[in-house]
Amino acid sequence: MDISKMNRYTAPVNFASLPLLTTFLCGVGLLLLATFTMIQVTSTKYNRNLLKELFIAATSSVFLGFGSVFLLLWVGIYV
Amino acid sequence: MRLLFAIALLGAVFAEDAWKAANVDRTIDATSQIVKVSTLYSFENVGNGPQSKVLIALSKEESATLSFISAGIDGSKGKLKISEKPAEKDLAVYEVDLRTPVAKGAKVTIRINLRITQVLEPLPSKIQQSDSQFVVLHTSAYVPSLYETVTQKTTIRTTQGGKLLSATTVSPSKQETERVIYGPYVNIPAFETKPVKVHYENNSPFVIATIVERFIEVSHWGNIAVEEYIELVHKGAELDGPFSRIDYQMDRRGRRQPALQQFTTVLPAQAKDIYYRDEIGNISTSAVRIRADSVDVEIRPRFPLFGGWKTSYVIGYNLPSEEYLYSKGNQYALKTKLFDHVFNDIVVEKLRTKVLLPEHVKRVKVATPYAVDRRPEELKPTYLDTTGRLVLVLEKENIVPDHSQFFTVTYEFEFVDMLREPLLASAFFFSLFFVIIVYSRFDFTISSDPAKDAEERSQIILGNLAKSVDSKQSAYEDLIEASQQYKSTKNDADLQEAKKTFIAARNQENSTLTDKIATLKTDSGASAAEKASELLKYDKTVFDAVDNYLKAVEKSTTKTAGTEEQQFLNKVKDARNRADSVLASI
Repeated sequence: MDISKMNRYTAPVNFASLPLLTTFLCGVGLLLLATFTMIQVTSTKYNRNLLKELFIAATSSVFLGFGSVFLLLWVGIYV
Repeated sequence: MRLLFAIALLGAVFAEDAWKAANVDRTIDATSQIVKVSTLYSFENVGNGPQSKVLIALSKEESATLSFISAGIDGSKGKLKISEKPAEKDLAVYEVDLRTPVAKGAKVTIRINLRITQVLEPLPSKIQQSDSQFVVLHTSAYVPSLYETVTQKTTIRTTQGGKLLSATTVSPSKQETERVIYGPYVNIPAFETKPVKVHYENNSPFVIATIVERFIEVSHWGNIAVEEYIELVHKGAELDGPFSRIDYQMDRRGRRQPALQQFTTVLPAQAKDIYYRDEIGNISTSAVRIRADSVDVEIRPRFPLFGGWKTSYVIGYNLPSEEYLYSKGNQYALKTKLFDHVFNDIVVEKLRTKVLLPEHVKRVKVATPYAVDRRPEELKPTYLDTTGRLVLVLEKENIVPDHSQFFTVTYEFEFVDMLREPLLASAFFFSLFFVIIVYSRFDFTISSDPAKDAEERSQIILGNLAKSVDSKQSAYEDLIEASQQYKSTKNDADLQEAKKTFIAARNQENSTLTDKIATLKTDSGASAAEKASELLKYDKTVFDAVDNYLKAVEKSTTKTAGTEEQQFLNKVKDARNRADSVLASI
């Protein structure tokens, strides 16, 4: 394809919004991580709930995953 | 006979020159380490018809070290196509495509620019620190030509203010302060040469980059990272004897010493996060100046580069992708410099440009402004990669600043692949969580502790008992609320319905309580179960009072609670307290 017919490429995430996104996503992720830890510490072998733990783990890891990628971008590691 | 005639005719065609050089004006700029030859040819078509191709000759020595050649019609900006042809009688031949045919008898003026590297020979080849550098230029007084030349002139520009030691005389020729002029010569036949030697002072540092490795890393998150690794060697007259820092600082020639003291690298205007370092680390003797249309980095290496000395460094910066990356659908195109400015009049022996594209790109195509050697592609695994990024490797030897031109890399990339990196990070975190979830389900106790187990179990059962009590109490609350409702609506059916729901809920909770008390009995023994069974009975008095309460409600005419109702409410509260004390005692 001819380059003159193409548009300038703009990044999906604006660099200016990276700090906010990182703080928000990592913050929520860490809060969920704290919840997860609390459940792990307090529950005994008779009242474990696998589904609940998996759900919290999955949500937390999605938030932390996106958050850490934005953190990398923020600090200048352009992945 | 006929064959002979044909051969004779063919011979005649070859014998006759199709062009005649009416005038040739050549300027050889030998002030820096690059010999810049600019020749203005005025060709006259003396062939039998219109022609669109003309041949240019270069001496063997020139063509061996030729770095860059360009041709254009004098006065117009467009570039003409040049292709190399087989050599003839010790002359390298280049064919210039004029695009528009030139009629018989007409003239065309074209300008040829040559950049010839590493031909100036330092003489003496070793100098002291306080000496100046002298070099010898070998060339021909006559411009190499495949055609007869009517008039021609050659001007050799030597260093401004520098000494001119000697120059071969080919009459008419004259030596001036900053130039040597050969010619004009009249009616020089084709292939005629006249070797000349010019020995003059040239203090510009003959610094050559033996390698320039340029990395261009494309990130679709909006950044293009450029990094250059450069090795510099001073290939002029070698420094003989000691080097004195004091003599160097006090040298009255200042910048005109034949040593590289500092230079300016011009980066694109959008360049940011610039770094400049070598093996030891950051070199602080550098400065960044932001200009209107560029960013200038003033670089001063750790030591001045004298003849024979070398250094290496790394310079890097980031560029926003919107300036250099184009897209349409899943088609992407990167348009950036194949080679960028290092310093004026640099000669690069080997340029290696590496383009790191994102993972999972397809159908990569490269379009370069001049021929380059495309090496096999490499894979470079880096942050958040699975298979590694595709690295295009382009190589070219003998580069001069004129090669600083744009090239284009087009490729296909699916936008969904952008999500791969965050999802990979998420998968990593999830695996950590998962390990903990699995680990916490293993029992690592060496000896079992039945008392502790029973304690844990009864805790859970107690929790459940408390929950049942709570819902029993809330059933009472619901009933009271329904009664209040009744006072305003006076709907008997609703009240009966509420009563029915209440009784059902209470019975339900009582039966669950019975079940749980049974489990408690097996777990924690009869005494605990005995106490717990109190939870079935504690609200008996309240339950018995329900009917009376409802009757009182039906009779009541006021919105506020009567004494009987108030008593019932108190009873409910008492029951709650009693249940709590029972739970606490277990």
